[in-house]
Amino acid sequence: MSTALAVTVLSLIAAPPLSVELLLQNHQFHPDRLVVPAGTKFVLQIRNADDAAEEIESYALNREQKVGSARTLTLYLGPLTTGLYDLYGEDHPDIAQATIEVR
Amino acid sequence: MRTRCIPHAWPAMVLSLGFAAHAAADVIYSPAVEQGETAIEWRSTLNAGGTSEHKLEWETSPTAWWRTELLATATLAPETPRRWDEIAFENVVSLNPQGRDAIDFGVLTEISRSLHGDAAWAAELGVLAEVATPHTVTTLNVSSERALTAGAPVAGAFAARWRWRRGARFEPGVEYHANVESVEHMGSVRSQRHSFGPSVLGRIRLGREVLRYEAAWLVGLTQGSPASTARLQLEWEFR
Repeated sequence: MSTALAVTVLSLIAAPPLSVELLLQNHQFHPDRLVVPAGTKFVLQIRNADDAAEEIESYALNREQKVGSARTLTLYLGPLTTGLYDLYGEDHPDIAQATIEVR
Repeated sequence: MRTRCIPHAWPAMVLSLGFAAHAAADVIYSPAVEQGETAIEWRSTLNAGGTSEHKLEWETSPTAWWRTELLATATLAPETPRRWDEIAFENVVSLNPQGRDAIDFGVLTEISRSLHGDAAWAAELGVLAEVATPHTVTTLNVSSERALTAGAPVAGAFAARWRWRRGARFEPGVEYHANVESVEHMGSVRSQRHSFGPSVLGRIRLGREVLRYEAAWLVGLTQGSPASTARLQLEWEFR
């Protein structure tokens, strides 16, 4: 009982995960580079301001999801080791590119 | 009587690692769903001795938590006619967003109908789990299947795979499959099917489309297992 209470209290006071955002506009990510700390879970939110859906893909991050027009995609990521993690839009891979720098 | 036995069958399955459906479709399902994906897939499982199972399916993922599939199955054996003998409707529901928790969970449901004989219906229910690290993915499936006819046994299945994400085109790994014909009469471990072996996965981009493949070579570990099983899965993902 006391353990359950402690877990509940801890979950209530635990800090929310770090949240970072990318804007997809004119098939380009803004910003095109994000920095997040190593060893930490974080939430990446990608807001698609374009008129068309985009399929967001990153082999490094092990994610592949479509984000509709005027919708926001939420990805739960990490903890990651230091390094560079690329992601791109499958429909516009030449310009829809972003990098997450973990350090 | 049977309704009392089924709830007890699940923990028995988990503890004994003796599982999987009598149809022995060696497939490992990820609970992760990729929204917007539509694909045609071919799965073949070939056992030493000449029996084989082939599935042709169409799948789509309307949301980030639901993947639905239609399948046709042909089970072939020496000197039997070549024909489709089962159709199925399969769904995977992701229970938590990918990566939010330490383990990703999902549920598999399938309803199938034989195209010959008594045209019996069957139902399958499974639990899917996956743990990912930056360079590895471990996937576990536990499922049971039962023909919807009086007195039919509940078959059980367990499958597990570990793979190394060394590159999109080639991910080596190992996998394990176990089946029992009836979770209520599991028999000795030697009579159950337990198979283990190496596998490879990958995806190759061809313009706007993607070809995914899986292949595995499994060796039987018990008398109740085929001496060897080859598994091949090809998926053509298009938009």
